[in-house]
This record gives sequence, C-alpha cells and structure tokens, in this order.
Amino acid sequence: MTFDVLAHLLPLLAVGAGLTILVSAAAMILAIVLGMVTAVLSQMPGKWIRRLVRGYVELFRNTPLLIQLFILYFGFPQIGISMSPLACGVLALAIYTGAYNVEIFRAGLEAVPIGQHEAAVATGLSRFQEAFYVIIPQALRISFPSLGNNLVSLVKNSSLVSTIGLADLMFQANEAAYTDFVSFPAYGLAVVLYVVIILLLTRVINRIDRTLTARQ
Amino acid sequence: MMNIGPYVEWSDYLLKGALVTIQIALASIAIGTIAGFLVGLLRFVPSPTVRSIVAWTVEIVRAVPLLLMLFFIFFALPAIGLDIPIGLSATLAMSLWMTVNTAEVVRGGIQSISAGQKEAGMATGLSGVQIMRYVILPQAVLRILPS
Repeated sequence: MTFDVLAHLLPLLAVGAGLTILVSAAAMILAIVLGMVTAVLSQMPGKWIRRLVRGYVELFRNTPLLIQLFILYFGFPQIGISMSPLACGVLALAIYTGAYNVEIFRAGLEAVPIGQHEAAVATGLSRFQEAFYVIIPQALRISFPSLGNNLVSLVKNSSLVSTIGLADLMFQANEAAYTDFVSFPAYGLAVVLYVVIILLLTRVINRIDRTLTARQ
Repeated sequence: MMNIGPYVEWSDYLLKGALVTIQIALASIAIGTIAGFLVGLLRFVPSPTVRSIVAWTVEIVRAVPLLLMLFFIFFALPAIGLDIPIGLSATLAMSLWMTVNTAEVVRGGIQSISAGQKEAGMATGLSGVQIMRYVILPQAVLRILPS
C-alpha cells in the first residue's frame, strides 16, 4: 500500500519541486541584482538615497513575507495592477530577499580595506573602473557565505507562494493531502524533498565557498 | 472620502488575531530559546555519536520550511494517530523552528570563543563541565544575545 501511494505521489511532488527550484532561482537572481544595485546606491553621496534604501530595507525586513505576497497578489489588483501568480511569487520573494541582500552587500562593500580604494586611485582608475574591477569583486567574495544563507532561506520561504495558487512542492503536497486523503505520505514526502533540495544546495554553496577561499 | 466603516468593523477581528500572534510568539520564543540553548550545548558533549546525531537532526529540521512543518504537525500527524489541537500545533511548529535556529546561534557563539580559553581552563585543572560553565559560556552568551 505504502509503496503504491509513494509511487503515485512522487511524480506529482517532483513536478512541484521543479517549480520550487525555478521560482527560487528566478527570485534569487533578481534579489542579488536588486540587493547589489541598492547597496551600491546606498554608498553614493546624498542622504536622500540612503534614507530611501534604509526605508526599503526596514519596511521589507520587518513585515511578514506572507503579508507582502498577499498585498502584491490580492491588494494590487484593486489599484489596477494585476500580475500572474508566478510574477507575484517571484517578485515578492525577490523584493523580500533583496532587502536582506542589501545589508549583506553593504557590509561586504564596507569591509573592503580602504587601501584598495587608494591603490585604485593611485593607478589612475576611474571611479567606475574602481567599483567594477576592484571593490565589487572583493565585496562579493566577502558577502558570499551570508548570501548562501539567504539563498537557503529563500528556497524555504518559497513554500509561501503555494498560498496564491502556484503549484510548487508545498502546493502539490496540499493537493495530494486534500484530494487523495494521504496527508501523512504527502507531507512526509514533501519534507524529504525539501531536505534533499536544501542539503544539496548547502553542499554546492560550501564547495563554491571553499573554491573561492582557495583561490585567494 | 474613504469609507472607514469596514476598518472599524474589521479592527475587532484583526486585534483578536494580533492577540493570538502575540500569545503564540511569546510561548514559542520562550520554549524555543530554552530548548535551543540545550540543543546547542549538546553539540559539545564528549560523545561523537551524540554530537553527530544532534548535528544531523538540526540540519534536517532546519531544511524544512516553517509552513510545511506546521502543516505536517497539524494535518499529517493525525493520520498516524497523533491528534494535536490547533493552538498547540502552531506553538509546537514555531517552537521547533525557534529551537533549531537558536541551537545554531548558540553553537556559533560557543565556537567563536578562542581555543586558548579552553586550554587555559584545562591548565588550571577545571573539568570539561566546569570549563563550559565558568569559562566558555559566560563569554559565549555575550556574543549570542544580539543574534
């Protein structure tokens, strides 16, 4: 009995796991870009930009992701902005994770020794060249371990998109539990799949981190 | 002019909800912090078997999304005869989540104390438990609290 149930569930949940990975990957790419651009902006002169960045970080870090997702998906259509569940899910995850990434990149940028800036000026690099070839690559290296933690959290947080009807791993587990009355195997298998995804991801991140460290 | 009627009508529901939020949060923070501290300490017992069992359990539990943990406890456990009421299910899931995350913070805090402190403790003839209690923990707690 158990084996039949699992054989029936596995393809369903595997499809869900695929979407979980897809949504997480898309959101993470956006969140990295968003976090980096915002962190670089926060280093610019002018206190208004810095206040704006502060506001974004505080607002999105201090409210539940679920509420942000619901405002985007259920609230925004009422003021005329409708998006597909996929777009809402990816966007909400990206903006939320982006707010955490800003802090990590900012700390990374500030951790690059001042001598690097002086060396760049001394060799006659423009500000743009300095940022792109000297400061940002080193900041990324410093930020990488914390960024990895954020990526892991993002994959787990992506389970929330099931609440707006995106058929991710969590959604498929719910579906199977409700329609086939197999709640224990369905949720149990979902736990196993999440653990496999996260542990693999953690290994990959650790390997990249070691490679980066070895290269220094 | 916006109609404020609905807001007045809903505020009652929302406030009741906020109260539940606070209740569950307080209970889970209390349970999770204490349990997390103990689990974190278990990472430093002499037995390597216990250490690796604890390490793996924490790693696996940490890999499960909170939402799934909650659904597993509330919807899946009744199927194997464990019927847990809704408030307790929520508190249990949140506490478990808090426990494993606190355990990792505690582990990080203790590991961040330099090895020289432990060696100094051994050199003055303290036992393993005494070193932990009087040398490592007082320093680690200061680093753990902000997280």
